Amino acid sequence: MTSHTIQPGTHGHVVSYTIIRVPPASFAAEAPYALAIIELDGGQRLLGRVLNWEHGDLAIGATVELQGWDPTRGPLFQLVHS
Amino acid sequence: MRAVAIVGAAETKFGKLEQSYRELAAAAGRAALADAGARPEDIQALFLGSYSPGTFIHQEHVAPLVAAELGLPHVPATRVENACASGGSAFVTACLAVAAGLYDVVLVIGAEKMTATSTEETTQILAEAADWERESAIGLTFPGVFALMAHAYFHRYGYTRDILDAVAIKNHQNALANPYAQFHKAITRDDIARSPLVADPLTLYDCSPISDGAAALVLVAADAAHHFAKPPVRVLGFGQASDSLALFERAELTTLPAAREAANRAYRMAGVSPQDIDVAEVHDCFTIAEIIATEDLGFFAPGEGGAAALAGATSRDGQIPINPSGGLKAKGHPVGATGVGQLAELVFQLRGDAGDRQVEGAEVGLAHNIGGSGATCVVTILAKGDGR
Repeated sequence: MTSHTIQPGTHGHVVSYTIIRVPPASFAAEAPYALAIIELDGGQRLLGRVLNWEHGDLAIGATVELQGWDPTRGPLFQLVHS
Repeated sequence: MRAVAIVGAAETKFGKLEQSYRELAAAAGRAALADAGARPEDIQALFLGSYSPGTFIHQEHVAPLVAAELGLPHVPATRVENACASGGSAFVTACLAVAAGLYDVVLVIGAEKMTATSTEETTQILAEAADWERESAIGLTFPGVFALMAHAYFHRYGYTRDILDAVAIKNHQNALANPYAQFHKAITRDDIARSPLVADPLTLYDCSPISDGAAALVLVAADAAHHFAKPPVRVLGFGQASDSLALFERAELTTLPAAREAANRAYRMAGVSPQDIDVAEVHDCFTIAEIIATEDLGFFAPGEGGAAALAGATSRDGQIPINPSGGLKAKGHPVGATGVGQLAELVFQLRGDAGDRQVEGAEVGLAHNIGGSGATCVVTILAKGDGR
């Protein structure tokens, strides 16, 4: 999978999600943070961070937009409010 | 292929223990030999299931270490690693060797020492059994992996977390009668409601603990089983299957396809169906995993495992007793030991030696041992007697 070639701005929806409250040692300073399995429009699935989960309605089926890629955090998504 | 039987079984207590890895593995091995009435010189090979001693205790090459500690003279000694299914995989490897006619008497041990590292380090070491590049490196933990399954299961079938409460309460209750268990503490819905979230919707009481421990089995060619002290338990069938390490690469999140495959293979080899199983030890690393396991094993239809847990169908006196030992949740989960420990519990149950946790009249038992989020699954079916 060459995920890095996916364009920021691509939309998708949440297949499932969780909030990590007990993080691994490498992300100790960042918890809690939201991770979700996203199905992009076009069908490809990937795991990524949902950045604005505390202010949005993170739920299965919610629409998200790819913001970009972080070298340590992977794909970053924003909830899109419709 | 020759028939295989188990003539000796033993476990150490699971928990945060004083003993070293070497001491725990050897204690379980010696106890299994004593249970069988076998001597070290009777053993022709050792198969050791262990996940990550190199990172937990800075010791690799553990199979000959344990063989030497037990005084097994120059036997072939091999470690088998398949994450939390290392024990089940070591057992399958040993079965293949005996069934092929290479050895008549072998020792299988599962062992792990997990409490010498901090909780954060242990969490990270365990996460290395997921897909590092695509999951763990970007912050997913194992509670997080099973939390993704739990939310998907709730959404698909319309449940809330009370089905998870039912599993945790039952397994803690069962462990009260298990002297090997890490926890001897009944819990209530209020305890769970007050416990901290680890990865939504999973709380501390949905997670198996960090444990030290070991378990061991003596496997023999079935036609030689009568030479040993204890009544034999037959290996009726086993199945192993694999899948992607990353959860998101699978089409469905509410079943483990490899567990279904492993179960189908084991049922076919054993010539039995789910209705024939009297007792099962399943891999409840997280409460949701037990519910999904009871569906993958064919005890309940997809979506009905949650209702069955709520209705008490999986309690010790229920329709299908699940985890009378207390399961990984309350008995403890020293990862490499778990798959062997499940089989030791089934041996005790099928011999009628399980004390206060005995499932009355159990004749056929099943063990379900998974690695990672189900990238390795091993299902084993045992039966009372030597079949003659």
